[in-house]
Amino acid sequence: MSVKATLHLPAEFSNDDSAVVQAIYVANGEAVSEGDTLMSIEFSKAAVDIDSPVDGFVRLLCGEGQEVLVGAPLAAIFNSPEEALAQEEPSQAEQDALANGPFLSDAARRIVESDQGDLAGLGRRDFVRSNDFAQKTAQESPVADATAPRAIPAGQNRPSTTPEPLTPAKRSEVAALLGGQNQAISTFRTILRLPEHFLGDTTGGKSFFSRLSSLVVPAILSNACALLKRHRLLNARYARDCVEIYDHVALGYAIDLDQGLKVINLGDLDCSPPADVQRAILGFMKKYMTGKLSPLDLTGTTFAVTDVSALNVDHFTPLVAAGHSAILGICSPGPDGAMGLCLTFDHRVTEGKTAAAFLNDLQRAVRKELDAAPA
Amino acid sequence: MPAYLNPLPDFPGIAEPVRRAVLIRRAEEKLLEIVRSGQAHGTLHACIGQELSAVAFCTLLAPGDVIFSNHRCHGHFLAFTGDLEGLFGEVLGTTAGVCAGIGGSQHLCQGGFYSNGIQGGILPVAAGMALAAKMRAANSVGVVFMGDGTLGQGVVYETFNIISKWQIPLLVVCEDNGWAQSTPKTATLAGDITARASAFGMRVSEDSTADWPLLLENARASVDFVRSTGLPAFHLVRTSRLCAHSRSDDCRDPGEVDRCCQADPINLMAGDDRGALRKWTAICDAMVEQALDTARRAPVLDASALSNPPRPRGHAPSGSQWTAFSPGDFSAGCGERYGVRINAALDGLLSRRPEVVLLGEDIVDPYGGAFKITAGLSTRHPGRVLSTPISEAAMTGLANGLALAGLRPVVEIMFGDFVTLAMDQLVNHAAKFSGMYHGKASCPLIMRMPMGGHRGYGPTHSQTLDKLLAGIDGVTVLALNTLLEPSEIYDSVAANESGPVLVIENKTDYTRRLGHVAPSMFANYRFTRSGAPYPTLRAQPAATPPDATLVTYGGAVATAFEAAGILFQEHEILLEVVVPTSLRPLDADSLIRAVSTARVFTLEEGSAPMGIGAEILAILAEKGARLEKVGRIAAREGIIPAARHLEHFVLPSPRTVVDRILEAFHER
Repeated sequence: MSVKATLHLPAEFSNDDSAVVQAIYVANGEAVSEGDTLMSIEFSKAAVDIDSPVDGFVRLLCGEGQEVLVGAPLAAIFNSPEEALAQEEPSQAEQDALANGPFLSDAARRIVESDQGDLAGLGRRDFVRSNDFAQKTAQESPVADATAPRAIPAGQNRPSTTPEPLTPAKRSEVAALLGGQNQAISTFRTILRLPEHFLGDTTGGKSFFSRLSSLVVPAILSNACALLKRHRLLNARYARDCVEIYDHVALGYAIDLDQGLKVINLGDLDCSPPADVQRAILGFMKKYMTGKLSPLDLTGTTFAVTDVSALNVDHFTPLVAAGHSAILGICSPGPDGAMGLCLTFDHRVTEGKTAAAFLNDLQRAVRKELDAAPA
Repeated sequence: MPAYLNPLPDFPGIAEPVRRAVLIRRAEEKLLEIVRSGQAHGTLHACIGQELSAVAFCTLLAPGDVIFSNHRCHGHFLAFTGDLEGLFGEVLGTTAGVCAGIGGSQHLCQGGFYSNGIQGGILPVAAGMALAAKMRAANSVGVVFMGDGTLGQGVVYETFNIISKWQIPLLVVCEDNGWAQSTPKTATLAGDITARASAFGMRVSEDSTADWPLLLENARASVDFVRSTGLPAFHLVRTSRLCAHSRSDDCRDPGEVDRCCQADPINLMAGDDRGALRKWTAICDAMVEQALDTARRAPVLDASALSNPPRPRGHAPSGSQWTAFSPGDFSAGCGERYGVRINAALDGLLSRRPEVVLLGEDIVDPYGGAFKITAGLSTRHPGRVLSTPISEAAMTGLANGLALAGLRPVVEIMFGDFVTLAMDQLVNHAAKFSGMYHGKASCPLIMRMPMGGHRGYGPTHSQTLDKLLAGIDGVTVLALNTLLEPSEIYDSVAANESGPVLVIENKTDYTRRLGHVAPSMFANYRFTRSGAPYPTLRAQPAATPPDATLVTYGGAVATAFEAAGILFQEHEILLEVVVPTSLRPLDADSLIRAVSTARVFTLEEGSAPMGIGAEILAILAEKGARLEKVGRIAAREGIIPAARHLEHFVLPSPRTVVDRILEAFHER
C-alpha cells in the first residue's frame, strides 16, 4: 500500500494553533484530480481551501465540524479506491481500546459526578475532557453555528463549589492552579476576633462592611506580607522537585467580579497604611471591570490571598496557585466578631507547624492593629 | 610450517632469516623514499634495525596462529605474509593494498595478521584471539608485539594478569629499542621490564637482535613453550631503531644512532660480505621494484565504497509494515521482572548458539552479577560464563579478540558508568576493525550495560552515558525497554549483526515487569510497532488525536507513561509516546512515521546537550517533520548526587515532564 500524498493542516496564521473543518467536498474513496478542492478550513481570519496535489483516490482523515491541530493530517491520496477505503491496520486494537469505555480526565470526572455532563451523550470515546461536554452542548444548541463559541464562557452564574465547563483559557488557568497542589495539601484555620467596637452592626450594614474593606482586610494583607518574611517557606514554590524560596514578597489578591477569576499583584504591603492598600485594590478592580489589566498586573506573585469576607462564608479551602506554596483565605465574620482565617499550604514545601505559627502570629498582629484603631 | 603467502626464492650462502630481514629492510627503505618524495599520503613507522626480531618470531607460526602488531608493523607483516605488494599498495593507497588503502601503514590485515596503531590496546585483543583458539581446543598460539614505550599503558598489565591467570596461549614480544618516540626509556621507565612480566607469573626470556642466532633459538623455545603448554610467555628483545620514529622526528644524538648503525648485525654482515649479500640485496631490490610497480598500477578504491556506511542488517528499509501489539500480551514471561527476562534471553543465546561466551565482573554463580542478570548461567553453561578481573579495558579487548576469531562474546559492564574504562576498545578497536580492514575482519561484540539512576548510587554509578556511545561511528547502540521481550532483541542481534552492538539496559527496568504499562489509562491507547528488528514503538490514544508527542527510550519510557497519565488526568493534555529501540543508527523513517503531532518533546535520562533528544529532533527536522514546538526534557547538567532528594532534583521525573510540557503549552 502506498500513499501518494498526505495533506496536513497548514499553518496559515501565526495565531492559530488549530482550525475547524468547515466543509468537505469529497467522499471517502472518491477519485480526485490534481487541483481539486477537497475541503475548506476555517481559520480565525479566513477560510482556506485544501486542494489535492496529485491525482488519486482520497481517504478522509478528519470530519466536518472537527477542530484540527496545525500539522495534523486531513486526508491522504492513494493509487486505488481499494487502498483509499482500506481500514487502518490497527483497527482491532482501536476497537479493543474503545471497548474499555472512556477514560476521563479529573475535570471531566467531576462534571459527570456532579451531574453536569452526560457521558452517554458523547458516544463511544477513548478519552473524555471537560470541554467535550461543552462542545456537545454547543453542537446541540439550536442557536449553535460554526461561529458560535464552543464552550460556555467562564464566570456565567458559576456557583462557587460546582465545576463548570472550561474555556481553553479557563483550562490553562485550572492547569496553573492545579499545578501547585498535586501532592499533599492541608488547610488550617484560626479565628481572628474583631474588637467589640467593630461590631456595632454585624448584620451587614454599610458601616461594618466599609470597615471590613478599609481596615480589617488591609491589616490582614499588610501583616501577612510582614510575616511571610519570617515564615519563608510559605513564600516559596515547589519546582522541579525542590523548594525555591522567593527573595521578596509579592502578594496576589484574587478578585472575581463575574469576568473570570484574576489574581492581581499587590506587591509587598508590609508597613503599607490601610488606606493605601484599599486604594490599590480599588484601582485594580476598576482596571478589571474595564478590561485593562495588563500581564504585569497579573503575574509574578509569590503568595496569594482569597478574600470572601463579603460573601457570608465562614469557612472554605482556598486553592494554592501554581508557583506558590500557600494561600490565605479570609472568611466572613460571624455575629460574635469571630472571623476565620484559612491557610492552605503545600505539604511538599512546609508543614503544619509553620502554618499554625503563621496563622497565630497573623491574628495576634491584626488584632493588635485593630485595637489601636479609632472606634 | 611457515605461513608465508609468498615464499622467498632460494639463495645459497645466506641464512633464510637474514635473507628475509634484508628484504624487509630494502622494502622499508623504499617506502621511506616513497613517503619522503611525497608519493604517499601520510607517514609510516619503519622498523629498520629491528627486522631480525620480526623474522625470529613470525616465521615460526602456523596456519591458525595469529599475530597482532602495532604501529611499527611492516617487519612483522612482511616476515609473516611476505606480501610486498599488499604493503606497498596500502602505503600508496591503491587497491593492491591489503586493506585497499583504507587502513594505511599502521592498520594491516592479512590472513592471521592484524595491526593497529593504538598503544597497548592490541594486547587484550590478541589475548582474546588466543583464548578463542584455546576454547576451540586448537593447538594455535597468538603473538603480540609491543614496544618498550607501551609499557606505560595500564591495559598491558590488565592483560598480563588475565593471560597468566586464565592460561591463555599468548606470547608477548616486547621490542625494546630504548626510545618511546622521542623520549628515552630511561626518562619514563621505572624498575625492570622482565620483572614486570615475572611478577604476573609468566615465563620470561630476554634476547637481543645483536645475537640473532641465539634470538632465533630462544624465539623458537618461547613459541614452542606457549604452544605445548598453552601458557603465556613474555619475550624481551633488545634492539635498535636506526631510523626516526616516523619520518623526520629524530631528536636522538646522531653519535648514538651512528654507533647503533655500526653495531647492526645486517650492516656488520654487509661489511664482511664477499658478494653474496650484495647479490641478494639486488634480488630483493628487484622484488621490491616489481611489487611497487604492481601496487602503483592497481586502481584506487572508488570513494563510493565509503559513501554508504555499513548499515546494521537488523535495520529493515523504510515502509515496513507497522503492526499492533498489546503490551500485556507476550507469549511467555509477561509479568515477570525484566531482569529475569534478560537472564532468560542470555540463557537462550547460550543454549542455542555454541559461539556465545559471557564475560564480565562478578557474573558467575553464586553471585550472578551485581544485578543478578547472569544468575544461574555459569552453572548451566560451564566454561562459557567467565568472571573477569576488574579490568574493563582488558575484558572488552578480550571480547574483541574472541569476536574477531568468530565467537560471539557478550560483555557485561557492571555499571554503565564503567564503560569509559573500555572506551579505547570500543572506539579504536571494535568500531574500527571491519571498516579499516576493508571488510577482512568483523567484530560481532555484544556489550550490555545498565545505565541510569534513581537508586542513590551517586555520581559515578548513576549516569546515563548513552550519548557518548551513540556518538561512536561504527557501532550499533540499542536501548531495551520493558515493552520489548529482551530475547527478541538479543536473538536478532546474534543472528544478524556482524559488527559491535552496545545494548543499554536500565537499572530501574530490571525490577519492572515485562509489558507493564502504568497508569491504567493506557488501556485506551493502541500500541503499534514498526516492522524493523529493532522496532520503533508507538502508543497513541485509540481514537482521539493526541496534543503532543513524547519521544523517549529505554528506562525513561516508564517516566514518560507516568507523565502522560498526569498530563491527561489533571491537565487534559493527551500525549502519544514514541519509543525507538535503536539509538544509533536512529530509524529516521519509522520516527517520522510515528510522530503525528507538531509538538514534539524528547525525554532522556542523560543531560540534554549533544544528546539523543537533540539528534531525534534534528532528524525529524531534516526529514521535513512539521515542528511547531519542540523541547528536550533531560537530566540537569552536572553530577548526579547520592542523597535521595538531590538525585530526584537532578534526574527527570514524571513531574519534570509534566512541568516542561505545561510550560510549553502555556507559552502559546
